[in-house]
Formats: sequence, C-alpha cells, structure tokens
Amino acid sequence: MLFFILDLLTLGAINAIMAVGLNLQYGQAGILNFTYYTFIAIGAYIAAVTTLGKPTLTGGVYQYILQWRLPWPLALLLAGVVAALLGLVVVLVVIRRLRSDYLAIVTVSIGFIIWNVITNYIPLFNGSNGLFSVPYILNGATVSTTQYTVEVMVVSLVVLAGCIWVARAIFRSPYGRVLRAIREDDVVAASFGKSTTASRVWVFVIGCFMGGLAGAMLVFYISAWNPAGFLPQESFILMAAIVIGGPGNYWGAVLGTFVFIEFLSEIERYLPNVGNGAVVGAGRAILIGIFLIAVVRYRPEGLIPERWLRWYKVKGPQPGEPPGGEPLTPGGGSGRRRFLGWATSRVKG
Amino acid sequence: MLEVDDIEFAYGGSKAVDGCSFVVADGQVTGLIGPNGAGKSTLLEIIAGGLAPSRGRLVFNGVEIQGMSRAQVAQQGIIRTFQTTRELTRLPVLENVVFAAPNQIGENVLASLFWRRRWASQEAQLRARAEELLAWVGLTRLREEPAGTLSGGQRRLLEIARALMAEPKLLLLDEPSAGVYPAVRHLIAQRIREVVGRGITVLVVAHNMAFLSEVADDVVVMAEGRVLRRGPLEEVRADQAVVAAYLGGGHVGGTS
Repeated sequence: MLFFILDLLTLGAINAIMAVGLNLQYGQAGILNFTYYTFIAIGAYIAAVTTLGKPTLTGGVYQYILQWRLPWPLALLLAGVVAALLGLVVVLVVIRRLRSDYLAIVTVSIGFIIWNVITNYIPLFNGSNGLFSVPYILNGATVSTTQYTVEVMVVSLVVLAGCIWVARAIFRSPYGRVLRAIREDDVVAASFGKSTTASRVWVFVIGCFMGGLAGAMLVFYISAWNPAGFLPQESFILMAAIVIGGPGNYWGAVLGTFVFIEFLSEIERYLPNVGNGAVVGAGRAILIGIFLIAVVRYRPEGLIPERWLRWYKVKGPQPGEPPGGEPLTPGGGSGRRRFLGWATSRVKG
Repeated sequence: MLEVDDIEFAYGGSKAVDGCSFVVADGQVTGLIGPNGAGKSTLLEIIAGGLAPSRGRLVFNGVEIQGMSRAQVAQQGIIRTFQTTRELTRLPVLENVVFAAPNQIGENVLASLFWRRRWASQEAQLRARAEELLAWVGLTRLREEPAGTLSGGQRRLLEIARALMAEPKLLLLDEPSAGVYPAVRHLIAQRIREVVGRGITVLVVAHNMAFLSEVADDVVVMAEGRVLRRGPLEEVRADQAVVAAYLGGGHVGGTS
C-alpha cells in the first residue's frame, strides 16, 4: 500500500510537469496542441538513448541512435532541449498561417506522422519494440524499488518546482499578459503592436522543453519506452485534465493531472473485474469523459479558475471617482472566499 | 498627416472601396460617414493593416503604410477601436488597459523570466497611468471585473481608454457611439474632444448625426467606395447628393 501511494505521487509529479508545460501552451496562449505527448515521448527517447550506451543485445534486433552514456542530469537537459527544438520546427511550420481549430487538426496529423516514423523506422529508436533497460538514475541499481521511487519523486518534484517557477514568472509578467491577450483575441493583440507570432513560438518551445523533461523523468522511472506509451489519446487525456483543473492556472493543471490521470488510472486496480479486463479501462475513459462534460457545463473555468491567481494588487475604490456604473457581478472578494462560497452553496443546494 | 490616396479594395468581384482619396488633417476630428455598404469600415480596416489594398497609397507622416501588418501599423502610432467591441473578455478591465501600452520591457520572454527588476518599475508606472485613464472614462470601480461582464456603453469607454494607453498619434474610432445610451454617448463625445485637445488626431466612423455634430471638425462622406463630399457637417448634410445617397434614391456617382 505504501508503495502504491509513493508510486502514485511520483507519477503524479511527473504528469504535473507535463501539465504545467501544456498549460503554458493551451491555458496561457490558447494554442490547441493535440500532440503534446509526442514531445514527452521525444524527451523519453532522447534520455534513453543518451544514457543506455552500446546495445547489450547483438544481431540487429536492438538498435538505436547515439548510444551515448551520459550522466543523467545532462541527459535530462538534452531531452528537454531536443523536445524544444522539435517543438520549434513544428511551431514554425504551423503557427504563422493557422488559427486555433485548424492548428489543432494539424498538430494531430503531425503527431501521427512522428508516431509512425518512430514505430516503423527501427534504427531510430528500435521501432515498435522500443527501448528497455534504461539505467536507473542516482543509486537506483543498488536500492529497493520503494526507495528508488522516493528518489525519483524527489528529483521530479525539484523539476516540477522549477517548471512552476517559470510558469509563475511568465504568468505574472507583461509577456504572460500578451499571451493571454493573444488567447482572448489575437487581432486585438496585433492591433496594439504586439508580436503575436514570436510570443506564441516562444511559449510553445518552453512548453515542449518541459514536456521533454517530463518524458526523461518518466523513462528514468519506468526504465522502458515504446510507441505504445505515447498513443495519440494520451495528449487528449492530458488536455482533458487541464480543462477540468482550470486552464490558465498552473495549480489547476497540477490538480487536474493528479486527480484525473493518476487517481483514475490507478483506481482501476481496485475496481471489481466485470466481464473482461478491457471494461475497466474503458470505464476510466468514460469517467473522464463524463467529468469533462460536467465541468464544461457547470464550471467552465475549471476547478481552480485562472482569476484566482492575482497578478496585481487589489486596492480599494478611489475617492472622487466619476460616474461610470456599478459592478455587474456582486461580491468579489478573495479567491478562497469565492471558493468557499461556491462550495457551501453546493452543499446547501 | 494621413493621406489616403486612390485606395481600391474588392471582396471577390464587388469593389468595397473604389478609388478613395482624402486627407486626415492634423489635430482634428475627421468624421467618416456614409450609408451602409459605402466602404467606411473596409477603409478603416485597410488603414489599420487588416487588409491590403489592391491599389493606392496610404502615407502617414511621410511613411507609406499600405500593406503593413496590423502590428506594424500600430507601431507607427495608428491605434484603432472596433465596430463590434473586442475586449479581452476574461482579463480584468485594468489588464485590458495596461496591456495596450507600447514598448513594455517585460514583454520580452527572457526579460520576463530573469530581469524582473527591469520591468517592474515600468509596470508600476503603467498601472498608475491605466488607473488614471479608467478614472477618466469612469470605470475605476470595475477595474477588477472581467471585461466580458461590462455593458455595451462601458465596453465603448474601455476601448477608448485602452486605445489612449497605446499613446497613439492617430486614433481610428469605428462607430464609438453605436448602441449606447445618450448620456454615455455624450460622455464619449466629450472624451474624444479632450483627446484632440491633447494633440491626437482622430478619424471617426459614425452614423449618429447628433454625435458627429458634437465631435467632428470636418466630415468626409463616402458612397459606393468613393468620397462624395467633404466639409463641415451642417454644409454636407444640406447637400442634395448626400441626401440622395443616404436615401438610396438617385445612385449619385455610382453604378449598381
């Protein structure tokens, strides 16, 4: 049971890194990237091939590029950089001419293309068999599984903290404001002289960098990676988690992944086995779907709305204010008070 | 200051703007009027960089701006408002205004991450300026509300405050009085006159004559993509050709 909880927290921390990265792209800048998991996969592959060294099997059945044996922090960094570079290529191809919904379709296609190349071009990352026996980081080879889980969790939390720091700095800065302006209305952003393309390219690259880091941590933890690990629907589930958690708010993204990816995927183990095993897996997808619909219908801003993050100080009304009208929404108050008000009204109702 | 020279633009086969020429004089409010479909909004969109004209030149302070992107036009000091207001709905009113300020250091990605000190003091000044502008249009009390919750008239006022935050040299106003309560319309007119008092040139598209008589120094009448008349409002209103164009009677100076 202890291991189960630790495993949950570790995977949750890694998923939270992904969510923070995707949330920068989707929540802040409104870029519908439906192939985010591809960048995670690239990070995982790069971290694997730069730490594996020479293949241990001979006879051409286990082949991959690079075959380096780098220290893991360097491999982690490299995973982020390569994912970011791939992100740069993708974003430069698609972003200049495309707006939200078309962009979403194109990202899906790009995801399929990359997935098929990796699966079928074996010399790259060993095709559909994938990579395995990726070395454990730190002293992982000599300690118990539980202790290794704790170690990976600590490293993942450090990486997550770094990513949240970056997301927070962007959120609070004028750059973040430009991103939100582009998300709301890119014509308005351009009409005030903002460089909409450059802003979106940068945030896309930063988000992909975080995805690469998350992929590397994942492969360090589970020590294997193959194309079944990044099927296109993974990106959709991650996107759903962000929409449920609260797009735009990095804490919402973290909450969304913890609850709806980790909790729901692990709870499967405790569900009674009805019929065959596939039923339970399908049940998870159905649960996420129902939750997504319910949130979009009843709480469109997500569980933790963006506006709860204050990006400026609240001041009282100023004296001698000219007439201009009343606030249209009553109340106001701090985020927590709003949340309590919302929660208690639900309980009473 | 802004010279519109023989601008032509067609949507598919129909020419929305067909050889339109006039000059927007420095430090004045020039009204742009005409019946629906006269090409006013299209012309404004061309000036703002949203559409590229198929013919003609736009010269602003000696620089040819036709074919520039929206952002480039804005960087030249031409700022516009929208016929259907377009505020950043989920952003607070104050952020809607601060966002518009030009040359913000913190809009650079690296500066936003690593040189907070460099942009924080500028940000504080911009916020103070935005607060002033909000007080000036009477929206101070709403400054933390999401802009999407404002009423129609408040949105018009917000657009004007936002445009001024961008420190424009030329302000393009697309029907700033459309669909607002007369008292608010009067407030908007007053504010526009004050803007001109600060040395900003204004080109305003409007339909409401009472509003125009309050704000406009000079009026350009467009019909079927061309300039029909130009002069003070009272003079233009009495003109038979203008009346005919509005009433759709004689199709003055056009085909169709």
